[in-house]
Amino acid sequence: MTGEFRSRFRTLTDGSDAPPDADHHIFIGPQHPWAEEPAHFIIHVKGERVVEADIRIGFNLRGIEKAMENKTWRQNTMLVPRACGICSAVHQNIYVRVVDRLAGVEDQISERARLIRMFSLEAERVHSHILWYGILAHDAGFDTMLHISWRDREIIMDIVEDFSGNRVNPALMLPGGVKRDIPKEKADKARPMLDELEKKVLYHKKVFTEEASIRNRLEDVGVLTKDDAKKTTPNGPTGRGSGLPFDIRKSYPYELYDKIDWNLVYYTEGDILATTMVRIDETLESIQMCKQILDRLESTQGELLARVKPRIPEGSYMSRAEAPRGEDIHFGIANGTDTPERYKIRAPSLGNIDATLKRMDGEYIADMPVILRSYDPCFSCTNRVMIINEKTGEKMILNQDDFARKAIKAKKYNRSFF
Amino acid sequence: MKKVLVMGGEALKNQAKGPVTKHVLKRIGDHPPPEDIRTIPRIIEDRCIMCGTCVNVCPTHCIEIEKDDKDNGMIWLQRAQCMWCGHCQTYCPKDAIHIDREPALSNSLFSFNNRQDYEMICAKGSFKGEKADKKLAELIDEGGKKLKYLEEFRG
Repeated sequence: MTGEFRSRFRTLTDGSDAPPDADHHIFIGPQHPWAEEPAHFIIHVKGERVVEADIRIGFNLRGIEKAMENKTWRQNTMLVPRACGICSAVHQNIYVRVVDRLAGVEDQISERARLIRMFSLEAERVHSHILWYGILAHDAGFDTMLHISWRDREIIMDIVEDFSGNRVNPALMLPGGVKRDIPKEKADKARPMLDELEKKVLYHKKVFTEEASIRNRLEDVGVLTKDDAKKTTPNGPTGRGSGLPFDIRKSYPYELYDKIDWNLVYYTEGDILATTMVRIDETLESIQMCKQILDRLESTQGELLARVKPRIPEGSYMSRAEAPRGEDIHFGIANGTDTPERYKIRAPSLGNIDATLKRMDGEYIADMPVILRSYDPCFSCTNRVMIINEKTGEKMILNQDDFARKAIKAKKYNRSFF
Repeated sequence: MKKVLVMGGEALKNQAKGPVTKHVLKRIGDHPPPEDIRTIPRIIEDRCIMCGTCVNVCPTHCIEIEKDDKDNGMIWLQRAQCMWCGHCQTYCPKDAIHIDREPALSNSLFSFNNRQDYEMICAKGSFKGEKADKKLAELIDEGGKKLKYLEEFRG
């Protein structure tokens, strides 16, 4: 590894591997009033200032990947969105695109089906971002904003429920197309609601940019410069707030993102306020895209669902998409039967951890809740197993047998694991 | 650029309105559940051909089938396990499954009465009547045993 590599998984058992400047170590999580998500942060402080911060994850491994190997491709369509509570449609979209490619029906999917998929994705981005900046305001001690933003979020939730039959798990997509149509009456009902939501989000933007009590908590806090961002490779809004204009929807367009007018939002300041502004502007952009999609649906006709056989031919395919939190990657291997051989999910929060820990260096301990919230942590979809040797930086991915054998040997002969 | 009391207007409005909880009961009437809401499945018996697609496709294995041929058989549902995905409706080749809009949620989901857990959603031909009732009684008995074990385990 490079000289700058530093393990984020210190043990602190005898205090020998703690950073030399720090005089206190503060432990946050996995059960903590701040944390809705189960993660363990170790913050090394000197006085009021943070020296460095470490993270430990792995409290919420639910074994979704293993469960997928025991179910058929058709059943997994409904298991995959359960990987994440908020960004369920994006997980389902990537899964469905992997199956489409493996089954060879990618070019049979109609424009109408693709537009409906895109509406689901953008509506999800709207409600995820509104939820996030509500919680951010709550962490900054500005609870009025939490209540007002979550009240206005109900508008988009009502639209999603009307179109799909469920509030947060729309599950509109299937291999080969979509499950339900969006008829004209429903679209007409949704249009004024979207207009109303746009007004409300503009008001939220006004509050975040003008109100002193929230702006003082976010401005010039946790600055991640562009150089640091390039080293720590954040993705999604965290990177776009630091001047990395990278978005999968623009760089590697999927569905019909290259045929719809929209602008890439990015800021160069790198503080928490910039990340917030990226998400608010993206919300406005997504509402605008939703309206465009509803307009285009009127003039587009086509078959909703193409036939996909239950047995998927041999092959493997990697697919990715821009989730509300960042870049989401799925990799599937098919072996010719109706169940997958292996399926791998990499959720966006994992890519943002290093950048967020970099943000904390030299900040006040009182700003920690805001900084920890800044990348929208979501660990139930992130936790996977990888073993890293702290001294050399060597990485290993083991299966269960190898892991058990190594662990038993290490215990029996009293020697190191590696 | 920085100001104070940007949200003053909103605060005054909310002050005049009073607590939101006061209006909740009135508002429930304004927001009926949408027409296409997804809940538990129902089967139209005349259309069902006992092919078993819904059983194979169900992600939670909550639908089970016992049959002789396409006119004689029964399908039952384990309510608590159903996650309302509507997969069975999508893949049904004869459009025999529709989704119940008002499934009496308070009875089906959170009750401790295990009699509510199983439901015979389709019984045809020779399976109708006595055989289906017997099967249902068996299932409920099994469920009752499971519940008893759980209670013993909890202590």
